[in-house]
Amino acid sequence: MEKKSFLSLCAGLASIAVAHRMLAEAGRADEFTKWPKAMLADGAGKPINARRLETREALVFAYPYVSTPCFLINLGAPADPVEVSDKSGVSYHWPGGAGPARSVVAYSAICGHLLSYPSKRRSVISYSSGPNNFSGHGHVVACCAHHSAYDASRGAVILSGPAPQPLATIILQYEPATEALYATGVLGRALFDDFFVAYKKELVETYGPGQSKRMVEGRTVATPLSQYSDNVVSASLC
Amino acid sequence: MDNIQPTQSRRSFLRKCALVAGGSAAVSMSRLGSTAPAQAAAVIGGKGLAKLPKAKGPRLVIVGAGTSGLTIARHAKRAHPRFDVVVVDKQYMYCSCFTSNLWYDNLINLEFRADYSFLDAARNHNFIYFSATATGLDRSAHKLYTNMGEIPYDFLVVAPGIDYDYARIGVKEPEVEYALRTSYPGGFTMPTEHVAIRDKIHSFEGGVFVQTVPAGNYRCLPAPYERACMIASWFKQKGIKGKVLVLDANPEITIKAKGFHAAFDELYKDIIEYKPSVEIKAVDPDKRLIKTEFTSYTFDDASIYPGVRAATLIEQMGLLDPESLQKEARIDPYYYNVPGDEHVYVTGDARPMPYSKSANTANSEGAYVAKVLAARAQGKKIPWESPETLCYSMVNGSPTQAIAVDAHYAYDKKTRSFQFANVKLFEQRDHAMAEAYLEWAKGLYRDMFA
Repeated sequence: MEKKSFLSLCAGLASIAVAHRMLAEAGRADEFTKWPKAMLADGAGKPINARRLETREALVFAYPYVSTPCFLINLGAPADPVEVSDKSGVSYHWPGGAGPARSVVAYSAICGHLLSYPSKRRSVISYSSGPNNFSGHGHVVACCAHHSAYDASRGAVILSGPAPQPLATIILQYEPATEALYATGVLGRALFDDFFVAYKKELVETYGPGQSKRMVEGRTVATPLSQYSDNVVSASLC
Repeated sequence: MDNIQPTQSRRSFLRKCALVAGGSAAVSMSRLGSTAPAQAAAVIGGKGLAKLPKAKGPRLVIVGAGTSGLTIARHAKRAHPRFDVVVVDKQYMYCSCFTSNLWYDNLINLEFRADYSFLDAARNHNFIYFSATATGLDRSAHKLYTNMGEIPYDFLVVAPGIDYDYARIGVKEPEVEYALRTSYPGGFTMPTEHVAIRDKIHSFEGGVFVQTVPAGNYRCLPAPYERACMIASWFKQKGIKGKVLVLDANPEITIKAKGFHAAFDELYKDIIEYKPSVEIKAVDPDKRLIKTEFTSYTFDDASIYPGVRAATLIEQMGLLDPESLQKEARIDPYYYNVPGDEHVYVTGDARPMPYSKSANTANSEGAYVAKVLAARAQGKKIPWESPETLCYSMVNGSPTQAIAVDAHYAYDKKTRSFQFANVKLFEQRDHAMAEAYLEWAKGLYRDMFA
């Protein structure tokens, strides 16, 4: 199943590098950045099993930097590829879900509006499988700080609120033999530079001097948001 | 979320508009086509040109480094990188008015509101921060006057905020006004007022603490009620035998009424006393006495929030709408420029439109005005966008619980004024809203400074 999904992204080619080249040929290379491949792991360091991912809440993992959080979401239903465009004219082809049921997606958890993100202390950005108050939409990632809502089933396009751009997509690769998931790159505007400027002091405090911009190497631990953050504001609330 | 009652909010808004003395807040469309008001005489300040780097593109000068001015500076530069942006402000240090109520109950520290530098904002967003006091304007010569010299502009945004209007509570003598400004400040202009109010609350030993609520479109509609909750929360936690007497010029709590009434009744039943329709006619600061037509109230300490008007700079620059009872500017309500002059704009709380005079409104409006400026600098037009008023109020300090409202605006042809649209109320207080509140504020600080 996953192979089909991957084929839909790469038009039959089995590597992200090739996908990147294809995007470059289509004149949209700026929208995709290949980063070092990282396996998504559980707390014990074992591969996250794509078949057993829960559907009620997102998991948080760091990628491509140790300090840049992302959401791993099992939609519980296949997600088809879509064309994504934002208000500033950026457009790209979103490859749809990964995993055995094409239901697993991943996005940067940095809000496209004012950069709210999940921290240990608090997360006002989260995923809700059920309807969210403002958009009335299910499968939504919403940031309750300023009420931006994104459609997790369609490339995190904006459903409502002030965000000017979708959440960046983390490209996932599924390995059927081991049922493991890998993050391989970022599609869309990731806002990492803005993130590092906005949170410089906070990141130095959390990760130590010079540590927040280290790349994730080899594997990255995915933790349910409710365990990752002490105070989660549910996406269904706003 | 529970308790979504858009109709209630709309009524509340209409009531507020009606209270602005006959609806001055409603911007009449009939005046839009009229010619520009007479040019004010220039107020001269400084000598010659201000010492600034040579403009590298069309110069956009912004007076006021508050939420409106700083948002416009950032987003205008992003939308049109050729802009050479200069932000002029007389303040030496930033300290937000929004979230000040949380500081009174120690829910945040002072750093939360003040640990932001104009210099960082200027560096991060590629503009020039010019520490000076604007003193006048010559629109025909496209010059802003400051105490540090003249600044020629291609586009000028004036965002000076509000001043108090003590005459609206019957205070006409300067001696009384300054006694009130000093001893019982409103807490909605200078940060030094917040320090004084916090000191009052934290040193209060018992008795009656009065919080007044003005009529009209005053700055931050829910803030006086939120402050009452935060003071009461402090009294409750510290075991202070005090009463918070809320004297409201309006016939009902102006916004989030259900949520505030629930907090007053359920959390602070023996502490907060709410009195609506209290039209203050006079205040005697020496006797600590507030007088209405029929009665009077004594207090041990107070924060007296008088009427609100646009900053006097609007008047000094000749931008005043002579028909405005809150002495606000006369501008095109869709594109914010002075009628007949697409080079001069007024934004933020000095605007005449009856939008909430609050941070999120100024921030969302600023992002839009930045696009207007960028478009006009390139000879383009863009469609109007409504500002958004997303406003949280902390009603409980322990545990923290908040309520909120989120609304846009639309022009109503029947009433010929702007009204709330797409209103969502969150009046069931909860902790998640309190968490969202703190992150909401941090987001605004990031937009302005980071």
